[in-house]
Amino acid sequence: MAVRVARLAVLVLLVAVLTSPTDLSSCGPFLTTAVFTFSRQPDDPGAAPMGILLPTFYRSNLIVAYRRLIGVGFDDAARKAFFPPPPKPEHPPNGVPAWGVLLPTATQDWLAARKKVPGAPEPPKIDVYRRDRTPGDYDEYVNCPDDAFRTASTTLGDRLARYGAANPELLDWLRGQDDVFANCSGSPVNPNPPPEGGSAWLQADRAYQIAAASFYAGDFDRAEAEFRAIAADQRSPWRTSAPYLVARCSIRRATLSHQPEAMMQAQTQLENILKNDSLKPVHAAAASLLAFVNARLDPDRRLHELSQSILAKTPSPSLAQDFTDYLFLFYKLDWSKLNQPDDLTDWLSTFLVSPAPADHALERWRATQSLPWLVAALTRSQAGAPPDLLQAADQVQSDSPAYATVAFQTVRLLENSKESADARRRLDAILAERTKYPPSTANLFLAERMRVAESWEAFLRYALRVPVGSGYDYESEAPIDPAADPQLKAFAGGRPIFDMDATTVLNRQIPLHLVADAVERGALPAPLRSVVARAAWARAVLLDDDAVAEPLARLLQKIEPAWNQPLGDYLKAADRSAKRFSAAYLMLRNPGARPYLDPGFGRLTPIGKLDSFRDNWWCAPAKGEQGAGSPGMGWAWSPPMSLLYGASRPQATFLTEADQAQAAQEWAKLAGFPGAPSFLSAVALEYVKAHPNDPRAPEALALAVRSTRYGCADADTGKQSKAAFQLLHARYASTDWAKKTRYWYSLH
Amino acid sequence: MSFGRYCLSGVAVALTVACCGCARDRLPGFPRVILWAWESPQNLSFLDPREAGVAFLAKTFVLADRQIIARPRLQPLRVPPATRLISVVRLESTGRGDLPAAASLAPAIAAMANEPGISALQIDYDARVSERAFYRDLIGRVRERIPDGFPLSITALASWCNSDGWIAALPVREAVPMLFRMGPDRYRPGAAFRVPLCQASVGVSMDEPLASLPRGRRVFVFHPGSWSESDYKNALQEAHRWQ
Repeated sequence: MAVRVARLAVLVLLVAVLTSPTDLSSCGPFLTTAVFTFSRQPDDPGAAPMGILLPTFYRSNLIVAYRRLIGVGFDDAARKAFFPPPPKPEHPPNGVPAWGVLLPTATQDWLAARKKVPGAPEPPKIDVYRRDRTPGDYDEYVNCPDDAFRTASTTLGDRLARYGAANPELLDWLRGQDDVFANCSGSPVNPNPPPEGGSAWLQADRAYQIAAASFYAGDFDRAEAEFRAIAADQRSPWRTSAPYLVARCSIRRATLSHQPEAMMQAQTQLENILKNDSLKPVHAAAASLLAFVNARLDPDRRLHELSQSILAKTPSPSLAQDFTDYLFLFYKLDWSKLNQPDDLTDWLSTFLVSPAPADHALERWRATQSLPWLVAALTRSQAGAPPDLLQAADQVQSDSPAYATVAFQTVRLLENSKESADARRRLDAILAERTKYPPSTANLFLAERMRVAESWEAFLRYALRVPVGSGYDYESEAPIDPAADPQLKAFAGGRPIFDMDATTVLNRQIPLHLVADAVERGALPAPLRSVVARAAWARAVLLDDDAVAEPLARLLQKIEPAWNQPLGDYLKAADRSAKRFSAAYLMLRNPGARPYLDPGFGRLTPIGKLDSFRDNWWCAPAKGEQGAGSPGMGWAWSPPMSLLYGASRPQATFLTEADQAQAAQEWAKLAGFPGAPSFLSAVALEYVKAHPNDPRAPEALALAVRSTRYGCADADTGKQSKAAFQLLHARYASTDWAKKTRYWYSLH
Repeated sequence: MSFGRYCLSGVAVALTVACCGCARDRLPGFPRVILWAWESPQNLSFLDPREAGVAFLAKTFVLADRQIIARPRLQPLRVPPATRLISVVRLESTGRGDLPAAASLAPAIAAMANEPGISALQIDYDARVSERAFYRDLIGRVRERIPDGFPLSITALASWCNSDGWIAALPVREAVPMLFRMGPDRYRPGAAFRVPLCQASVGVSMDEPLASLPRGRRVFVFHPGSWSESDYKNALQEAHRWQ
């Protein structure tokens, strides 16, 4: 019997082994990062002085910048046209049950209006979208746009006012209109002919309803004939609109029935309407529709016209639409076929990260000597910019809208050419007035200044920056909103922190004694001082540098009250092993403790709490993505920082040779450590084995196991986890710590 | 029975269990490659219907502010007439727990199965943990309303297919694990899927190439923009490597 059970167990195990899956990653997470310079849009497109233009900006922002560069400006009217407030959400009318399928506002309004007709029947189901059911084609489009419902509501209101709600012909009118809208999505429905002897108004309205029904049913030939008949009927109130609707029949033939020649018919029809003064009431609508037609018949010419409209000093009434149309056509440009683009289009495509040749901007600047091309030529230059370009850049005055960009790019080129002294001189003059610039721009100037820091003090001064926003990727950048993300509340008031350029230097290139010195003499603002002090202390512990670690521990006792007691144990420790254990014990109790600095907001979970996304107990510095905040360690530069550094890293050239050598030695030693779970567990195990009666022992072992579950695991972690678990259960089985620790972990 | 024979029988049982998910094609009649055609103009007239089918975003339902906003596809889709089509319905919610009763949404989704030329329905909803009860109810109601035998598929976060597994008992033909747009925690080649519903297909994206995929599965390929003929050929070539 026992043999059978054993065999069955083996069988079950075998099945389990062969069918069990390997590990699989899950989705996300998307972590919030600090934004020091908005990369997709300026802080404010109308800010004066204008900030630094980045090639990663949205096209709309670059068009606004181009206008400002050529002196057109950016007033309230332009702001309204280029950045209109988002449309109001479709409103649910009173009485509509919650969680119904929401119709467009104009449709809802029509349904409300038709209730004013006494005896109005239940409205038919309205769906404004129509599906083309031709096999192989799947087209769905707005068949009945808002204007159709608005016209119906307005007409009904007028007929009610003229003829009274009691007029029985109104009900007939309503039935005809319901039939019109039944064509929006369903099978063709023709409104009945008007009753014999009906009023003239109903006869005329019905003729229009019949033509509209044909139109929405997709019978454009018939609809056109019916609209032409209405246009010829001098008694019809619809005779002015009808010619416009004839053009719309042609457009629908072109777009839905794939008859491209119909677009030209529409063009002719609309041009004729605009020449006919008797059709003035529909001239605005016809002009707008003609623009739509021209954009499709001759997109290059239309793009050029739109460019002129966008750049006109006196804004056109259609500026907002022209701007939208320009962007639409710009996205669809076939660059291989475009001949002689207008200046805006050429500049825009050159300034953006694009395949445009790098020297094109320089050629265009030399040909035009204009500010937009100067900005583009400087932005696209790398090292060794030609002297005439740099001379022209120097002529740009501080009140010019191009000044910030030109200054930033000039300094960047100087820094690339190792002309640091000149770069510093220029930047110091700019930074003396830095509050006048948008914060994103000020941060980029600070970054440039840090890049050529002449001393450790200067480095720290320019490394401190206030984030302008937050985001989880560059498309989601936005000002910090503590209501949306309460974790960022502490940063909303302008708290300076480090960007990645600073942490890259601080983590790998600065010797520990300098960092400790900066902490001790209070060279950093309060919250950041604490963060740096903790990291420096942890680093000093790893390096066994008591001369640095002990003063830092005494300082931390004052500024981190929760660490007072364990740091007291650390300071009182009698020997090296006890000291290391006391430090390890403190770090095991604080999953967020780490011997390096994170860029940006850093770890947002409190240091003593477990982070839900496993940002606990650091990874081995040389391998981990949590590492030293440098591009070579799993991070990527933000687009603005990438402009400055490309594939390179900042260098602490201000250090003495001795300090550089010491920093390199320290880094080499740190890079030899495993991740925190392995390291801290090994320290705890060694000490507890030798000091079984230390009251911290069971907790330290339990926390060591915990760190191997939630921290950054490596090849040794499982071994350490098992050893800590076994020692805990062998020696301290009756403690709560042992009871709470039910497993050990090998998660590498 | 000797221990060796016992082990062999164990292997046989294990292989049977392992393969039971792939023995029956969950989308019979569909090619082994399906192109996801999202909301961009899509002219797929170059497509060979024997080689690839098309799962196109047909409608998006936005569930917000106590209203259901239905947004149909407004970009054209051209395919050879014989192409097998899957209508994809995407759901978007606020995550604030304001969801409709499943009964109020299910008819609109189920109605899409009646559209001519559509051979299957797929629901794409990254339901949060708090939204799973709603999604489960919704799928059940949609399933009840569409014809028996009409395939109902869903897309799935990779975690649903393994560590989580909450979808295991849903009344759907298959769940397509999406091995793209996964954030920092990316798909690791060699990983498998524990939930049987997830073992028939995988979803990948043209702009996130993967070193390897589980073999023998139908491959859904996402394109973030409009498909071109060269993209199509590349997708076919890549997908065939894993058949």
